[in-house]
Formats: sequence, C-alpha cells, structure tokens
Amino acid sequence: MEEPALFQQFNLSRIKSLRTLETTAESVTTAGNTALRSFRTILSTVTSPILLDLTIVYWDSDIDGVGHYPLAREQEQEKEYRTACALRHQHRFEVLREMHKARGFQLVLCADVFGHIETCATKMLKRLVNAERARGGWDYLLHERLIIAERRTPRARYNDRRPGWEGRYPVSASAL
Amino acid sequence: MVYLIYDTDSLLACSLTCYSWYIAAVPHLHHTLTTDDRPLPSQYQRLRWPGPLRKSYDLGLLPLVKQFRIRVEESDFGPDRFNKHTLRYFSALTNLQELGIDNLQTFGFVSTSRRYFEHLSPTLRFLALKQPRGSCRQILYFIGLFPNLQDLKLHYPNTINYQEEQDGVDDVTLVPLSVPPLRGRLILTCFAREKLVRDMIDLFGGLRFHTMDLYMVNCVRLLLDGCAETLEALRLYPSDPYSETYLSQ
Repeated sequence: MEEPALFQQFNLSRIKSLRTLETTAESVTTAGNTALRSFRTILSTVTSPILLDLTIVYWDSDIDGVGHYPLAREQEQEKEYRTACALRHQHRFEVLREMHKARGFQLVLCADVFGHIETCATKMLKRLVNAERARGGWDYLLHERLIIAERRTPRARYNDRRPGWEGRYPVSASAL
Repeated sequence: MVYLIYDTDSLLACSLTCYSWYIAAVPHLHHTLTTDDRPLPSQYQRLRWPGPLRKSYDLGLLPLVKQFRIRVEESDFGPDRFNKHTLRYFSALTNLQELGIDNLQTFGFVSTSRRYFEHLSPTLRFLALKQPRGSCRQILYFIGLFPNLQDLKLHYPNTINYQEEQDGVDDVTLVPLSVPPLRGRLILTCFAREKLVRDMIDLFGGLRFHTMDLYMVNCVRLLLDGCAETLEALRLYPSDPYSETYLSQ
C-alpha cells in the first residue's frame, strides 16, 4: 500500500512539533486511489505526540454553486450538477475515514475563499458536516470537527491566494 | 468595514460617504498597490510601471501601502526601471510589509540594491519573488537586505526544472548583509533549485520556518530535515490537479 518514493520524500517522523497537516479538498478526491495512497503513506510517518489537525482547505471552486448560474441552466442539468457535487463531497469524506486508519487526527474544514463567498462556503460546510453526522459518518473521530472560514495564506488577496495562480486582471486600489 | 476589506469597489463607495467613513476606509483601500507590465487590454494600460506608483505618490498615499506587487511578464525587473523620479516614488513606501516582484534581476541590483531597497528593511515582513533571475548567492543577497523578513515565497511558473546557469559557478564571496529571522511561512511552487536551499542553510545558519507550503518541490526531504525542530504546519498538494491547471495558464 505504501509508496516508497513518497515515503522517502515526505517522511515526517523527524518533525516532533508538527501540529497541522494541510491539503486542499481537491487533492483528497483525485481519480482512483492515488490520493488516498499518498495521504496514508504520509500520515503513517507522523510520529509527533501532539494531536494532529488535518486541515482540508476548500477553495472557491470547491464550493457548490460558485461559478454556476442555476437560472440559466435547465432543471435537469441543475439536478445532475447537484448530484455530482453531493457525490464528490461524500467520496471526500469516505477518503478521510480511510486516511484516519493510518493515523488519528482532528479534522478541520477550512474555507479559504474570496470575499463574499465566505458566508456561502461556511453554510455549505456546516450543511455537509450535519448531513454526515446524521448518517453516522463521523463515528471514527474522537473530537468534534471544526469549521473555519479564514484566509490563511499570508495576506491572501484575490490575485495571490492560490500558489502559482495568476489572475488575468489585478484588483487593487491602483486599478480604480 | 473590515468585512469589506477585500471588496475594493464597496470600500471606495464607503470612502465617499462622509469624512469618518473615509478615514475608516482609506487604509484598507490603499493597502495593496499593483503595477502590471504584462500585455493587458488597453483599459489596463494605466497599471504599467510606474503609473500607479506615481499617482499614489502625487496624492500622498504611499505611506498607507502595506503590500506592493510588481508584475512583469516578458522582461526583467532591473535597475533600469528606476530613474530619479521613480526612485523618489518608490522611496515613499515607508510602511511596506509585503513586497512581490516578478522576474527580479537580482544580479543587476547586487552593487546598488541598498540604494533602492534599504528604506524597506525596517518594515518588510513578506517577500514574494516570482522567477527571480540570478545565481543562488545573488538571490540570497537580495533576501538578506531585509533583516526583519519572516515569510518567503519563491514561485516558478511551470514544472520544468528551472535552474539558472550560474547555479554551478556562483560567487562565493557574495555574503548577505543580514540574516533575516525567516520564522514564518515558506511557500515554494515548482521549485527545483536545491542549491538555493543548501546555500540558505549555510548562509542563514539553518532553516527556522514554522509553516511550509510546498507544491512541486524537488528538495522536500532537505526542507523537512532543515525545519525538523521548528515546523508546526505543513501544506501539501500530493495530487491536486487544479493547481496544475491554474499553473499552466
């Protein structure tokens, strides 16, 4: 199950003060079992005695409805879109459960989104967490999962939020 | 007002309401300044260097700027960008905390860098360099200009292993003027310059970052070992297809 190259590169056993391991929501749900294998390998190397926070960062593109315009869509298309979103979230939570078998963690869901999407993102995460709780999907976690809406990258502005990402048009006071 | 700090248009509307709202809005409104020399539609020509800098200087707003970003695409950012006027504007950035420069020609600034950047040294906390030009020592010399630097971002635009020709034949006599604390966040994207990390460890006496954000980095092992004593948070993207998509734009 372990990937030797990845294990060699991301061996976290020497880091004794590691509190948080972060990744993106999209990283957790890539095709096949690649993501799960990668994360299980990395998590299995953590030896820090501190309770580990696993932070899943949701970007704008991970928030349901962002960039989609329901009024302009056919009802059937809208239903398909919603179903696809629900399956994606469900698959992500299943991957998290599998990851927990490699090493226990406290789950933190973080919305790192642009401006006004923040409220919508927090609502969506709360809804997902409650739905999963109703299904009994969090039974493996010892601690209550946390939801935060925060811009965690240094001075995250729209242009610099995503590593390596470059928006086409800058938005700043100098553009006014 | 704080809720609107990322919404420039709303902030602008607030600042026009009354004097007290103007006072509350103006630091947020002018927090970030960007010059952009990339090929953009004509309505964005006013963003070209040094347009926004000159305009803010004329209005006495540069001391309010906390974050300054210089975007360049097809050329380098070297000393030739400065003349006596632009240097005067740039020197008015007296409270700058975050500086981002694309294609910085570090070798061009080696002998004159203090003249251009010394006024930033008391306040600058975060430096973001996109595809910096020059050898490892020259880049570290530039980083060493800022003795209070905490966060560092080195960003290359694609996954092709990028190595300067000078990496092999570096000027070993070039030593940074100071050792910045660099205890905050390290962000590396598409980074394949292992020698730069090794030189950083040698010249800055090790790595002390508390947080690392690594995407497509070829020397993860070296970085993790270097920060083994201090690292508290690590962000990884082992299989994020979105990042790859956006990087190729």
